[in-house]
Amino acid sequence: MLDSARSPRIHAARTSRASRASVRISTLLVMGALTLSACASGPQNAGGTSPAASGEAVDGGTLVYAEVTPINNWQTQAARFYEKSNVLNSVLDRLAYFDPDKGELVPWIASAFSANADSTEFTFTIRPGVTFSDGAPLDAAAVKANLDSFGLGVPAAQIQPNVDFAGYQSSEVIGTDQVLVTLGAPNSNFLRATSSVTAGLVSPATLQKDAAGQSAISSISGSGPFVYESEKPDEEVVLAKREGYAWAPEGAENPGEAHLDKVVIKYLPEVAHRAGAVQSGQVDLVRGLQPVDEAALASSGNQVLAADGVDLTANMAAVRTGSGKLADPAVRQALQAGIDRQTIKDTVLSESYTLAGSVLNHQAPGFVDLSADLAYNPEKARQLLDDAGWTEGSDGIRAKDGEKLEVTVTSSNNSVVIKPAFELIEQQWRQIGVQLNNRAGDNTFLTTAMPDPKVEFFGTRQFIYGGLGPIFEPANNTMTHTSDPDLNALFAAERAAAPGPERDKFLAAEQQALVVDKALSLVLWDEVQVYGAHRNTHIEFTSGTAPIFQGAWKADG
Amino acid sequence: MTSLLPPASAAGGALASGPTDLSAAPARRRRPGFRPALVLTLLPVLLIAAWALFPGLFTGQDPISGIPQEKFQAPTAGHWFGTDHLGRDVFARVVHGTSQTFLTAGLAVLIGLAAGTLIGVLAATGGRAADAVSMRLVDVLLAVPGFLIALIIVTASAPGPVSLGLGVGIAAIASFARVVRAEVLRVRNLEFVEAAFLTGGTYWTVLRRHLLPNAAGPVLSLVAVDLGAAILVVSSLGFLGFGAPPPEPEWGLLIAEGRQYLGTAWWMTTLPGLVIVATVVLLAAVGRQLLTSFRF
Amino acid sequence: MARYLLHRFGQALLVVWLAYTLIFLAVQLLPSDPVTIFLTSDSAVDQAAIDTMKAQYGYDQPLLLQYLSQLGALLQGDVGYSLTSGEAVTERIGGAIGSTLALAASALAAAVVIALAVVAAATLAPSPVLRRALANLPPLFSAVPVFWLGLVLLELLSIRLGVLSLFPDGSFLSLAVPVLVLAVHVSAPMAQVLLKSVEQVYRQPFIDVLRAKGASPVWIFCRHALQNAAGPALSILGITVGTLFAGSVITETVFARAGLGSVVLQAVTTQDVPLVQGLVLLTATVFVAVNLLVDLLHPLLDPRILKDARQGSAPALAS
Repeated sequence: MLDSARSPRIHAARTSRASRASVRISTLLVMGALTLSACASGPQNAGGTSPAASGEAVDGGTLVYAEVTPINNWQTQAARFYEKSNVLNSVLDRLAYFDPDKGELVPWIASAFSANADSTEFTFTIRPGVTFSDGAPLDAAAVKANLDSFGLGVPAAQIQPNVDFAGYQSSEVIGTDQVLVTLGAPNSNFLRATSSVTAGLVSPATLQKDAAGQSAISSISGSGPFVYESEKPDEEVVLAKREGYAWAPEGAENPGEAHLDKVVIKYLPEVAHRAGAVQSGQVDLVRGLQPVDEAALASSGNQVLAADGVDLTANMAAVRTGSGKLADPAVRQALQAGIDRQTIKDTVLSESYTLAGSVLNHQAPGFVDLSADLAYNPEKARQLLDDAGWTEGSDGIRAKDGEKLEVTVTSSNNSVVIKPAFELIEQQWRQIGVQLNNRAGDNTFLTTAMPDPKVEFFGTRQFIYGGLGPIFEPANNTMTHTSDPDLNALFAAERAAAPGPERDKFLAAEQQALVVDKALSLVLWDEVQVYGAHRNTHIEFTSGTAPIFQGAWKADG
Repeated sequence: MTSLLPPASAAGGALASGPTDLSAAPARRRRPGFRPALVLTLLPVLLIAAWALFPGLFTGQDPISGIPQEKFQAPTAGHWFGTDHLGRDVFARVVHGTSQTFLTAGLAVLIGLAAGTLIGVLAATGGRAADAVSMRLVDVLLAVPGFLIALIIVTASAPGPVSLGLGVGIAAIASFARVVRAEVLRVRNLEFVEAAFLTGGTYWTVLRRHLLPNAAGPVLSLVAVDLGAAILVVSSLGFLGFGAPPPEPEWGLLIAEGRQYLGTAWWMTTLPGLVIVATVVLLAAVGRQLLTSFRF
Repeated sequence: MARYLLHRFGQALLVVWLAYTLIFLAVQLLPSDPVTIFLTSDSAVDQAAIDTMKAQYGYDQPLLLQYLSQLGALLQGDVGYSLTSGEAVTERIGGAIGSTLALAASALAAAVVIALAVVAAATLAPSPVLRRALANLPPLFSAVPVFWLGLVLLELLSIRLGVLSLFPDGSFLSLAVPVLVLAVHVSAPMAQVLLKSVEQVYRQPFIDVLRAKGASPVWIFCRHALQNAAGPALSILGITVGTLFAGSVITETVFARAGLGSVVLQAVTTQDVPLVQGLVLLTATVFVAVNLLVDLLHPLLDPRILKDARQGSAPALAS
């Protein structure tokens, strides 16, 4: 319940244009929580009576944002959960920014970047005139220091290397304003990895601090549009606008200083109060709205905003085969066929949610629609299980060689819908003779289940800035805990391929293998973070679902 | 019980704590007799016991699998307590959850009673050294918040009836030990017990025939009160995210999980909550009745 | 008296040490180990990194050695460092304790007031039916789950009526409501003990004498019944420490207040062993200190105790 820590690895990019592509807005005039399906470009306003849904930006004011749960370790490159990245997104800038409209990386702190032909060397040209909030210049030397800490970790401060920087060898400053990065193996995803919040650039002075110093938000200096102002541990963090900020990503709607004077981050662990917090005007924005409250909030004249996790995998039950029960792919395919996803959506989700078509988001580059293979088909599921030798016992649960088909799922409580979803899956799997121990939402269990390959399912969604490889590839990866040679060959080929159609070909093969052929990822619904926003609040989100406070404003100032 | 629940421990602990207890003096025994008040309080308790033993008699609905289309229905004649987020009948879940609720709470009380009696009797009859050692042990159990012990035990093993019962039970040992010790000390000094020793009774026969039965009233009373208290602790643990996994319809979990829908489906947490409150109050009343019935 | 004090102080230290040892053993039960949990929270980490960090914290040593070195450090005032935040345990706890103390102390004071009010009402109410009904309040208070009462009050006061902030904002209400929720819970056992003692006092012959002499009921209650019942009520303070602690954890969680509550939950969930040990050290110390204090105050209220304690028949720390 505390740190909903083990949540997805987040690498968010930020700009208002990205967000428009990925935000669906429902307002009061749209009955219930009706949402418009996302379209590829352009702003959308549904209804339009909300003062903030359209109109001119207003400068000034304080936005109160309610996060789900307090955290006390703000170390930047471990920014792998929403609670942290949603805040640090506005405090730290990155080298590059991924613009989903263009489908490519655009300059940010790096005014230019390039890769060599085999994706082993990358050159960044650092934008002039950028400073950290502690006054230090953000120059090539500062970038090198940051890249080294990502790639190699900071042993003195017990900071581990950033997983997206696998293969990192070294950086060197070239001339006055360039940095050359050398990798040990080709990785065409490397540039995009530099755009995640976990690759947020901090002042060299911050990097010099010890573990405690680097994990205290009060001592983190970034170059972002907001700076730390004050904090009451476990209660709130106050950010103030960075005066003179003028280095937003290329193409950002607001290139300069934030409209808001301040952002106050508070914490609302009680799900039941989130809609009411917005409705009663106590907060301007709240994350983690539960589906049952969406309609009430929308009909009260406020906004239900669904931020699509374009940069994340779908919500899925990643399969671990350590217990041996799911070693046969046919059994895993049976389990996928035994999930009635439409009923899950109708019962515990809402119109803000889209059933997954693959392990990638519908809007993600390289997505292939595998829906036909994911249809609910209990007869097929039973047949597959029969054929695999799992026969139904007297208690209705299948068994083979005296071992029951009893499986366990773990997940964090970060998502408000994952536990009820698995409650339904538990019922549905019982119909095909499979017993599910539902430990979803139990963070205490998660701490031990995460590294345990015998816990069959990990309910999760993950960021894919480094592609699917970093998530599924290592032998001790927390998704599957196995290293599959076929998949790994595809991942390596994808990284070595030139971005574009050639890489998409490997991406498609990866999806087919993961979701259908090997069924190592039982996919459920596309990742979406549903926010509640006050009617006067204008807010957009990154394709990584982080709120963009730099572009936000309040209609009443 | 754990420190969450002082009523039992505190009331029980103090009511018999030697020197401050003004009632320790009278030595005239009143036999337990027929008490209408006790019967009146026992009746609803019996009903709950029947829920635990024969849930099928009280509801025909499935407590585990719901009808998704019927989710979030307010209480009606068909669904007395309404339905939950998966379309399950909440009343059916309360009735079917009775047995697990009392198994967990019963295990907790049993652990507290067994270990507490052992320590308490040892302290009261084993001489000064045994007394000192036992009482330091009790102090340690009180000094480490029982609540924290419960959290650690539930974390160490999966939350379920056994681990929850164990965690809550260990915390209950101290209060039982103190009540048993005080009662045995009190009874030991009564004339008829001294007479039993004088007429050649051995330690064991006197303990079995006289000390334990006569100390039973306050202890039984504590059992009743602690049973209710244990239900509440389990519920609080559920609230903090340390409850049994679904779909088990355990009472504490019903209110702990139903709270998520407080704004939209008040019945999911309120009605099971009322059942718990009523049960705990009833058990406390039974405890008081037992105390007055057995006290002499 | 000096010898008695020394004896009691020694006992208190012994209890703290035993509690620390008990929890050292208890945390060994926890599955996995804190370092692995901490490092694998993100993603795959190689074993070497885990081993390095384990060595850093000394978790690669044999259990006895770990225990002795931790105890040694403790004697020098070093409680260790939190595994999750890297902060010193004393700092992490020190930063949170103020808010919890404010809540717990206010709740304790409010609980005493509530308990006195309930007992006074249940004793002095004009009709026997009313007295009986009021006497049933304490069991009812203890039967309502703390978290449930808090959530319902928040829903009503904050969301429906809008008079209370969902977040601690420093206003009177934002402290008063959590304090009330916790106090209701804590007052129940106090009221029960107090009521019982007062009832016993009323059964004493001297009360009849006072009545016959024409003393007013209120005067009898305040001057005699309460005074005679104060002793037992005081002894309950010792146990209330634990109740307040657990109740604070829950109340803070409900009202999103910073404090030891979140530290406790985080320590257990992430198996942050140094933090758990620090917390137990804290609660055990507070517990023995309060009980020592209660025992020293007791003779002032009830001279029979001192004589008894000197005889050594029932010197239980918390009795």
